[in-house]
Amino acid sequence: MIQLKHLTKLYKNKRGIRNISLEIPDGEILGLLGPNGSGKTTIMKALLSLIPADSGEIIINGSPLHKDFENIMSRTGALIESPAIYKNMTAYQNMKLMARSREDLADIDRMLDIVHLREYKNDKAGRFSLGMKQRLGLAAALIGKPETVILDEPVNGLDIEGVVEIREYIKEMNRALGTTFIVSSHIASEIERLCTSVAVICDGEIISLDSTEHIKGTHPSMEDYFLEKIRERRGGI
Amino acid sequence: MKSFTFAMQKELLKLVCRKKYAILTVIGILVSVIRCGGAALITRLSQGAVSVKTNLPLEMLPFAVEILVPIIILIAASELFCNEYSNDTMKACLIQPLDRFKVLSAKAAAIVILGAASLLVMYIANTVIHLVSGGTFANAGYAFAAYVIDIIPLIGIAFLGILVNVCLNGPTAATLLSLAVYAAMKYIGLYVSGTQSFLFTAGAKLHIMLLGKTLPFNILLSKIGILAGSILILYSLSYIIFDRKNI
Repeated sequence: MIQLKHLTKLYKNKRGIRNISLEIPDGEILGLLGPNGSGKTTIMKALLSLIPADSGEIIINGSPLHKDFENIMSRTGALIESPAIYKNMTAYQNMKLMARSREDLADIDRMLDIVHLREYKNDKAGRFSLGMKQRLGLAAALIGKPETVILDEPVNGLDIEGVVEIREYIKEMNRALGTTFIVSSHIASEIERLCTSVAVICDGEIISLDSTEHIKGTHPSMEDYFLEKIRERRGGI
Repeated sequence: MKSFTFAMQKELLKLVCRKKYAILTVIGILVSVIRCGGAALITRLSQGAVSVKTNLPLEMLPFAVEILVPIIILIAASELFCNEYSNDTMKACLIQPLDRFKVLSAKAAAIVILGAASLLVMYIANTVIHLVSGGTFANAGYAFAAYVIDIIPLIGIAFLGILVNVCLNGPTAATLLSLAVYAAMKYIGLYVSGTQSFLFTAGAKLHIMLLGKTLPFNILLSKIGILAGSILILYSLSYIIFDRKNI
């Protein structure tokens, strides 16, 4: 289980996240849905210790993140904002650099196969299109079958087939291995198709948390649910 | 330890994939060839009247440890720090199962290994050129020991480069500033007397203190202390800033 307790991180412009409290059970696919600048990426960066939180705590499987960082990160994959691609290195070399352990190296070819980059494995990643770089970033996040995967706008730049394939792979990994996913997006329909629960974030705060099943049963679409929550938050303007 | 070694190997992979370090080393070897060729030319032009006897490995050691390898090290520091920040790949390093201290240490170790490898390649090349031009193996062991000992001050130069890089964001500015700071520390003694005695850059030719000459023990201890203390201070400052830097 991943627990965020009163997590706050404010940047110099006073934007960020405020008092975020969340519990993500094992095997959940949690969607973070919110407008641009709402704090989705900030939450994910704090979960990965890329930014230090001003206050609050992150506890993963009973251990505070800062005390058990190496152990937790050995079982966590992530794709944050744009994929971290070394342009002068090949796709295969990039995957080697992203591997968390030597054991993950054996999984490189399989992951490149899944994202349809196997035939480009010896090509320099700098020459890849945006979609290909995104696929490479996803492959790096999923290599070695981590227990927890954090994906920030994972379908950004992908074509329709790519979106469907990645979605199906995430669901399969969740079904077969019980992998916990935290996925952020500003595309409501994608969150609706992929996630088992959804947290709506606005102005750095969680304004709603519900299961996808319940949302589908009470609202025509995830988009309607999202807009309703945002309007409630902003006073119906 | 396994994770640290794996991380260090990955950092080294990032460096060896770049041709520029090999090109710089080749340039260093060419300088040695020109040096040796120059000596042979003088002998030939004077028809043997002037004979320049050289011990090329030892004569090229100052060039290697004070100019060539520091340049390689400072460029490598920019590659693994500022370049990664500006290309947005540093986050990939920080989400590895290593705390920031080990990430910094793995990068530093890779930079020092690259510098040491370049220095040893220079030793091998200089020895070969020396032998081909009629030299002997007479001082090969002493020269090898000198090259190995002079790797130690390069650790300080690596951390100097790292400290500059964690303070800045632009790789070009970081490379230029670290080269400027290194040059200033190296040559400040020409303008302000006495300063060289407390800068670690004065100990670049550490082999002179440890091999052959017998220095008084207290002076040897102070020189080694300055070097070790400088490395510790630079390492600590680099880590403090690196640890607090937001991605």
